[in-house]
Amino acid sequence: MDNFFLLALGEVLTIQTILLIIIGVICGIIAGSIPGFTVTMGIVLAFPFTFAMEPIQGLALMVAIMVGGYTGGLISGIMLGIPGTPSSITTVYDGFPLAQRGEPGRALGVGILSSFFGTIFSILVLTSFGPLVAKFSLNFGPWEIATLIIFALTLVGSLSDGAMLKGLIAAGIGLLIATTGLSAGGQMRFNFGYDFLSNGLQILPVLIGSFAFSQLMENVEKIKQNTEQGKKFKDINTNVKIPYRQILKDIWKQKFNLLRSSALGSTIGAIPAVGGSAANFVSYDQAKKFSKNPEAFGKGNPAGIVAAESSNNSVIGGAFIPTLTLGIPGNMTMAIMIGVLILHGITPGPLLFRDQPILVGSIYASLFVAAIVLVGVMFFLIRVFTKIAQIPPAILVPIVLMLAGVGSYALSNSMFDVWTLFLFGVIGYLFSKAGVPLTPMILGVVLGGQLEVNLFRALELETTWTTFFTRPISLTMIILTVLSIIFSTWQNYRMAKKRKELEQSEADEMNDDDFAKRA
Amino acid sequence: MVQDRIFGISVLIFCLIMFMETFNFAEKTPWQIAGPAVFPRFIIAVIAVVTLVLLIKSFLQKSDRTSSFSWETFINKYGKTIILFALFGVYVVLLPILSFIIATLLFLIVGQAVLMGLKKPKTIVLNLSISVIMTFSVYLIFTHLLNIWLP
Repeated sequence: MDNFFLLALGEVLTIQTILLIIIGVICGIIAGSIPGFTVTMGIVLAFPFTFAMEPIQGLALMVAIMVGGYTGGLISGIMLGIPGTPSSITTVYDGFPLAQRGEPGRALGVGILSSFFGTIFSILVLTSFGPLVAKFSLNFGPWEIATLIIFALTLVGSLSDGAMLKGLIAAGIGLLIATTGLSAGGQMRFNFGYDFLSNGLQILPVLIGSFAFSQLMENVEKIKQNTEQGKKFKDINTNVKIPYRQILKDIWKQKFNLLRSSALGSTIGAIPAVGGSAANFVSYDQAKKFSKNPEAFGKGNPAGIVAAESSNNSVIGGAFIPTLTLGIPGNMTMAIMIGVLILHGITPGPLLFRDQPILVGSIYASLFVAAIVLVGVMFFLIRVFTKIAQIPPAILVPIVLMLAGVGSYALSNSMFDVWTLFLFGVIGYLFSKAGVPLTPMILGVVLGGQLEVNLFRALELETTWTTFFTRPISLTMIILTVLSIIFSTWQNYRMAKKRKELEQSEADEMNDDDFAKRA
Repeated sequence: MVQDRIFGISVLIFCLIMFMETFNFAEKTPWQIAGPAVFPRFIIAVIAVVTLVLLIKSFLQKSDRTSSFSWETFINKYGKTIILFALFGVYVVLLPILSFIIATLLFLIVGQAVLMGLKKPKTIVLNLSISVIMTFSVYLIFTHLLNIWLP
């Protein structure tokens, strides 16, 4: 194990790859720091550039963007009070007040160091649990894999935004999209008699179209609000000094908080459908509960920044576990990562750890190098980043759209992929307007082929369906699937009831007021 | 809830079209356990059932909001989005005809002009310089560094 990590480290520590990691971290920080843009957007933009690279270099670039992206959100959060990404919302709670009190350098420094430790912690989690899960999942037959995919899909479908039915429909549509083109048995499906449809729809244009367009257009719709934010930016003093000794003291005081938040982040990251923003909220909440003086939170307490920033970075390592060991991406970022891996002819799954140990090791190594680069880049360039965060979406949106188009074209030098991108851009936008979550659809597209192959392989090996219920792991997955549906139905019902009660009580109050007035 | 109904009905129509198409698939070969249509049909059935539940739910819930629709607010909110979608569509059409550099320059300039306006000379200069820099740097990176041919 040590040996392959060293080999991988050697592979990563080339000038070219280190340069890519530095570029990746910087791009990630920028993507994260601009409000309205997310880590995923950074990954989307980078993916076309990875086509021509070696797999290890491509992965290094993507990993570096993730590390930078989860950290970049703290810049606008602390300086402006506007979270750069959804996963840095709770960073604002304490970061902004601390900066307002005249200590922006301390807030930023604590945030940066916490991000660093979060990343390092998550590498430890990934390196210790990843191989274990991979070894365990080597025993999985087609029954286990099929039921695991179904469980992941229903979990993501039912967890997304409380819109369980729509989430499940979206997952189904994704699975259906995955069946287009040649089937595993070599028969043509859903080409509607046209030649250009016979290759089926490629994963990446579908994924990027549906995600990027809906996000970008949301930015366009908020452009007025954003220009006001932009004005606010201009008044910000970007001349920040970082009190290094003070931050080290702050971090040392918060060592348990740091560990707890990182552990929470990694755990949450490993669960499909919940990611950085959930980790951010849960860790902040826990830090507050464990704290001796919880009333200091929200008023500029460094402990809050530590909890928020260490947890969102530690999500990365956790999220890699199901992605690499089982081939199941838990979120949009990981789905793109899988798309890129597949593009390079690498299939994530239990065999990856056995067959491509150096590639896996290079992910660990890239994470590690990126974490170190992150600290350096952040401390040196923090002023520049604060300025860059001011780039208005009016400039960025067309550029990002263009890059998405070029990237899709570059996939196989065909305009068909660009049309796919556009079509799914429209679909994704309409879906998000109708309150339909997109992640389940994306996951369906990524996992559809695997699901079908494994379902039928299971039936080829044993012609009866009952095997799915007699194998313990498969049965567990089925039970978990049913439970996840029941749980979210119950939760939806409870939320609807609560809302009704709230409306009722508001109406009662209004009546009371009326009554009081009349009296 | 109107949204849910529109979404539900569109999904059902989509399911119907896809279901009809499954009859054009090839027959299963003797060594296959199931034909190529089995899995898609199963998925279509699941989607249809869940969508029906969604539709029924949307009709059961009373929508207390009386939706007042006015074109003015609609255009105000979504006008730029629609233009940008259309622009991208035109860009995709023009890309193979005009070559990457010209089509991309046009797309970036018009796109930024739509979003930023053309009132201040400063924004026009910014717009033009960013468009030119982005177009050529992307072109150079792809064709020279990454050896990917662009139209």
